[in-house]
Amino acid sequence: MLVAFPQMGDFNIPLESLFNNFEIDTLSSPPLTKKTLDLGVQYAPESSCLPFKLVLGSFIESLEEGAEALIIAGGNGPCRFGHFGELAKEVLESLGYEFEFYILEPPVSSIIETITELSSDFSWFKALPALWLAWKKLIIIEELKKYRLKAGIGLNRERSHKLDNKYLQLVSKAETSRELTRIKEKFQLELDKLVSVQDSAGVKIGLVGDIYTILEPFANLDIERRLNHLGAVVNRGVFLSDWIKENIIYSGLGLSKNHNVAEAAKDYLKVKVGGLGFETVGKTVLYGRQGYDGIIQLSPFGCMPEIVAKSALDEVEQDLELPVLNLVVDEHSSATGVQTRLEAFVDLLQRKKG
Amino acid sequence: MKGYLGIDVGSVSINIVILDTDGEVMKKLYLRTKGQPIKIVQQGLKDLSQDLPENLEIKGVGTTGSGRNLIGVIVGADTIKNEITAHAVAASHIVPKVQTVLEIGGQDSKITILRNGIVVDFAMNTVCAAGTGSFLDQQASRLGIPIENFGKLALKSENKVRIAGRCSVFAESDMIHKQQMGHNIEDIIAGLCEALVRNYLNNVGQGKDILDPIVFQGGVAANKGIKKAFEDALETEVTVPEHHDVMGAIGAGLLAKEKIEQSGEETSFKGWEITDVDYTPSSFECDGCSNLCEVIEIRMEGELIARWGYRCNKWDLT
Repeated sequence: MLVAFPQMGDFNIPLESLFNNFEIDTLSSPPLTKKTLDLGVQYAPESSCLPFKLVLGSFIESLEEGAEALIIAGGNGPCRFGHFGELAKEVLESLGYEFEFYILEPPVSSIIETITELSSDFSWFKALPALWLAWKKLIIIEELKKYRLKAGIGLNRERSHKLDNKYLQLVSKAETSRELTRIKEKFQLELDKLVSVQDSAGVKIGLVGDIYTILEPFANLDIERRLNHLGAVVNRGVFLSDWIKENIIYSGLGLSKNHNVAEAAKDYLKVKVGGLGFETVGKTVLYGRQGYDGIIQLSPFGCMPEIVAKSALDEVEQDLELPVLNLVVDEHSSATGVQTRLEAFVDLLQRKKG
Repeated sequence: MKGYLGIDVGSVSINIVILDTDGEVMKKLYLRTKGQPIKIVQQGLKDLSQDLPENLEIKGVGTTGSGRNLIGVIVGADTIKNEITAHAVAASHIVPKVQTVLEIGGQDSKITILRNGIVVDFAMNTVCAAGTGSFLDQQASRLGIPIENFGKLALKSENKVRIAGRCSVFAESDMIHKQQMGHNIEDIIAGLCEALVRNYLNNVGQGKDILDPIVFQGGVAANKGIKKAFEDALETEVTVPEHHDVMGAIGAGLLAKEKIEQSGEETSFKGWEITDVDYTPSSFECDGCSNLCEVIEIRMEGELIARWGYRCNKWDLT
């Protein structure tokens, strides 16, 4: 059975690795484009958020390319994400598609259940190394990303883009953990060679906000590259591995490892408000303490957790004298408008620093 | 004699100023964009060039506004800056202690907060254009009142009517309803001004610390009714600078001046002759992937000089 996942950042690579190790065939869903978005907007409820529209569009494209089973993560809590799977299933069925549908709910055992159902060849002997390799792939991809973000401002846009793609391919094909470590080392060496001296704006910006909007460059109009291009150093407060640890592994054991985020947020927000609202506030305070010059909060239009976080951020902004730019995106977002705001924000930070 | 050129290419208007070495306005032009930015800028520069002091030498050129990149390429700009920064720079040049800049243009409205001459916060309207110049224009022409008289009429009102201003479509139907109820036109217009200001403050100005001195600029600042409504709502005086309609261009000119003075470089201004050069913009849809980007090309006398509008690197000019 041919399995597909919705496109989000480069998350498909570890997932494909995991499933392929159990002899389950996967389909790489096509990269998100305007067509994906158009499909999503056409068939999703009008008031659903941009991430849902993209997930739905991505599912439709995969089904058109022959996917027979769709897999998405679920979850609970008051963010619409937990509802994506059910809603997408209904919309797709009403469009007449036939497919198997799996929603991976925390804890981690649901992943194993899905795999045992799909795989003719399941054994625990295989499962542990396969899970470990997939996890390692996710971590390596994030480490490449972190390294790239650090080196970002001096990079030649076109060549570094090619380099990213080349190494993502290598990660995708890698079969052992040791191979992955070598890939990382080689990537760093090659990337260093592409860094040239370029005007730096001398400012450091932290990205916080909704997980999908931050992870998927198509959804955020490639904000990291735009900021790098303006000479700003960027770091992200959101990585998928952190989310998985917190929401799938620890929460299954009734634990939380988010102590420093909770400690940082405590004067502004004491309870979780769904999505990453709580983390947005905590990470912003942490960035402030680490001497970042500014924060950009990214969220899709109508994202409730981020709206709650925003009202707390207004206070953080004043207390820490840390400028925060709220960027709201939806299918109507124009690149020109986003670019203007980013340019003005970088100017602001630069002039403030003097 | 030295001068600096500032050009603000907006969606509704194109403003051009020439500043002297103190940053004072020597010449200014306010033109309608009419969807043809290149032609209008060329025409504007031509008009300006015919009426210049004998020995004027342009030392720097800056562009801003949504067409800043396009016109920047054509005139040979030394600085190409976003309109938020340009407006703030102009406001603090004219009112050095300014702490709040309210700005309403043709299609967008923004608020900029400054402290000690530095921008510390800004916001721009995102999903709503209910309070911008285009909407006022539309209402003025519907009521058959020249836009220039709109504000003056509002000031005559003694008993303004409450208009629903959250959305321009509902504001219009509410106005029609109030007209049909028999309210007089001055009261309705005053009510509309108040509604727009309420909408602006709740939307763009939400959560912002609005402190004195306050400067109100942009095309809509000419409207005395809106200025009065701001003063009533904020319970303080609001300053409308003399050149409120070309502040973006002034900011662009000042930024060019700053850059040239700091770097000591020669300007890249292509000279007044550009008004006679033939620039042809054209566009095509790239079918390289399903993004179907609309790529725009600018040709100067047939030679390709700039290209943009695409997501990947496929069409980069090397």
